[in-house]
Amino acid sequence: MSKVPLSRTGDIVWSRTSKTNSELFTLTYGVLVAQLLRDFEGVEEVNRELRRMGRNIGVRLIDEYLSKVSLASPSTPPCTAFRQTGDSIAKVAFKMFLGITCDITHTTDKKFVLTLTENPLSTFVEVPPSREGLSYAEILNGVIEGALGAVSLRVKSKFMKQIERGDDVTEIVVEMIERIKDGVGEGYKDE
Amino acid sequence: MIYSFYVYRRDGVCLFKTTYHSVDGDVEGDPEAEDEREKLVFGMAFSLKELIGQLSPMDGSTGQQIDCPLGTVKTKSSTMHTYETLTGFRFIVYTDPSINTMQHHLQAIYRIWVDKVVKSPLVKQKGGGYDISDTEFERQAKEYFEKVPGFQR
Repeated sequence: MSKVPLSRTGDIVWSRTSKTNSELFTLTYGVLVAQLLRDFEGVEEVNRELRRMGRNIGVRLIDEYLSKVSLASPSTPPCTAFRQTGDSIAKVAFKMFLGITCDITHTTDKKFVLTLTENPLSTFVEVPPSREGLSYAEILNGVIEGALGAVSLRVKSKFMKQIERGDDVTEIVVEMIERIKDGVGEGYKDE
Repeated sequence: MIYSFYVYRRDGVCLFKTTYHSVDGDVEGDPEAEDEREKLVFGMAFSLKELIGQLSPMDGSTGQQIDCPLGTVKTKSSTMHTYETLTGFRFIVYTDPSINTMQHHLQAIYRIWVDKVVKSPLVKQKGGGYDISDTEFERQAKEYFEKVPGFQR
């Protein structure tokens, strides 16, 4: 069976996506974080709020991802293993939404590490010592958790390294916790 | 001929329904009967999928049941076409039996759904689902279905 390589799928979808200026994007995100820092008491709360926003974005992005990928490469079957899920995120999802691809290392069957040599969210950004503890691009973790949550995978996503804190790369560790069981809602019980 | 069209979310809550052509003995206008039908449609799709899942063969390499989404259920008088996304949305359309496949049409409808509902900031979230008071999806879906060969007969 001839299969379209994932990176090729990523390129196809990326070429069809309407784009925005990357500096505008970076600065808009910067304004958002700056506003949250003013609105909330501590950095921990800001981190939590960013993650929550990310989740809400993720549950919507996954639908866009699925509908666009099925159009770009109809022969690609759904992921059956968590490894494939990781590869799809690294090569297709990051490409189509952020324009970058990242390297992936599978540490176990249920855990992988995404390595980003650049992070479009945090270009020009340095976290000052007074804001130590701020996870500037925390929204990414929320997006990953939200998106995978919508396809029945409960995962934990967190940063190991962050460029804006002085590391050479950004590393995101994603670990699968469990598969959420399908079931019907309240209206169908006792019927 | 396309009779009716439903969208459900994962837990069976009906997010959208519409009737394009009513059939004999149609319950339209009777909200209670309509609610009942809406539940029956989902119940059938859900139970059939469960059942088929249990009967389907195991994948030798993974030891897991091969995932087999429900496609079409055909009877002499009508056909039910379903398309389920990985995110748990079910798109179900009832047609007369002369229409063989609607899968790619339902995928196109999914793309409209993504554009007009999922990505629309105007559509409010309602308990983890979407509140379709947005008529743009309704309009575009109708427009799309009307172009499907066999919509009207």
